Amino acid sequence: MRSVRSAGIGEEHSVDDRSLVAAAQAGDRAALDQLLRRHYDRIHAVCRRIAGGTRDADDAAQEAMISIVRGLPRFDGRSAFSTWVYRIATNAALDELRRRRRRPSLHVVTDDHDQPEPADPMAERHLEGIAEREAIDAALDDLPEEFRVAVVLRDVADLDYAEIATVLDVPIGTVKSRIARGRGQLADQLGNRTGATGRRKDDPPPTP
Amino acid sequence: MTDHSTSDEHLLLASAYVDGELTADERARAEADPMVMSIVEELRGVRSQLAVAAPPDEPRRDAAIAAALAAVPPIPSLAARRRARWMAPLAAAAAAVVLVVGGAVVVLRSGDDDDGGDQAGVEVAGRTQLEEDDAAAGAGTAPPLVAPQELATDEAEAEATEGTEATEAAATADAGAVEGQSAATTVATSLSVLVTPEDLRAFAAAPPAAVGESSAPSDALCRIGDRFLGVAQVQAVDGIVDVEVYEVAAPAERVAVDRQTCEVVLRATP
Repeated sequence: MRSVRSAGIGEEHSVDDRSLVAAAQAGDRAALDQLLRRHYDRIHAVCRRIAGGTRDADDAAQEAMISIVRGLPRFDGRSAFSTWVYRIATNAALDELRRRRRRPSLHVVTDDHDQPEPADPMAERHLEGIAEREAIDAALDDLPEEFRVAVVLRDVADLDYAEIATVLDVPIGTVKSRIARGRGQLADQLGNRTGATGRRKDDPPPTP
Repeated sequence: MTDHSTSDEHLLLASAYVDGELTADERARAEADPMVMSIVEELRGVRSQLAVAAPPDEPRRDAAIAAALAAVPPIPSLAARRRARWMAPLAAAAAAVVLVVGGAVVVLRSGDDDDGGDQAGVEVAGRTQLEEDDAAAGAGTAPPLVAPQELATDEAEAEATEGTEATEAAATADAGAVEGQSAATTVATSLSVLVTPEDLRAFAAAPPAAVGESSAPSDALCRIGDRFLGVAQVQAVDGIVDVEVYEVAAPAERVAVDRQTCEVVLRATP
């Protein structure tokens, strides 16, 4: 079996997905359960990256799962199941994001409120991981929505350009451009730009 | 861009290179350009950072899947359906709504509401079938599965579909009817099988009756005499279709919502 990264998650599961979808459409709840479990983590990751917060991602992922179940009788198999699923997840995440932006914010509540003290190296690494995720979230949040969604569908959902074009209903050239510009901005914000010195922004300054 | 005087072209080339979306010529051009390959490394770093995501909380995952599964309407047993049929008030009027779909005709038989049949202006069928307990499970915001282009009465159709057993037994013949091979009339046991997605898509794409705007633009609107009906939120399980039928008294106004469970009946068009 091809790896998820080299083949894309949609491709890897496409054969099995088809039979599971057919069984689920015929009323097989075990097949439906398996189908949902297979895709949940990736759906959640997409929602997480688009919606921003863990709680919003939880809500969006749950909405997406319900929409998938309700829409399954209408899924015709012309596109990959994963493409269809990520379209739903993307819409659910964007809906959640827009809802959140409409809500008045009284104070900032972080999802990782129970951050442990850096008592040992493991805890320190844990904190670093949290900090990195928050940095990525912040950088993504600064991206224009159309860039963010395109990048997430490519780098998190692992859809190819054609699939993303289908999900977003835009030409492939637009997808290509949005992904490139989105990644360029992320690279700037996350400090991946090395520049002529070959040094990361957050590297310590060279010793004299 | 911070340190690079990177052109858009370099960035586009590098990004597509990362994704393996270049032609052989473009790839060769990218690999011959140190600036592009430098950006490729940077973008790969971004990609790997994005790919790292905290796994979702397991109880949350289970809860989400359970909630989704609960949204599936339960499939009623044959016995339950028989029971429901006989327990339903036989005097209640039933609407027999004929929906023309591509090369087939879908008949929705509903009957838990006198007004429903009256509103539809259709003739009364002799039997009703209610599975109201399905309604809650089917409630939701899903777009309509079918969009009726035409509604009409068809007593003969209703008569021909009486009796769940008989109609179920004829389901195979019905599949042929959908393909235009015979004129058999029966209850579909699996809408997804008997009515192809292409049929439904073509049906949904058909222009609606000229009734102005609906409060739910994606819903199907049909004109029955002087009245307009909307059909929305269809769930089909084992031949039982959960349909929300509402009357539109005026454009952009939904005045009555009546969720009903209907049998789907198919027959071939002449």
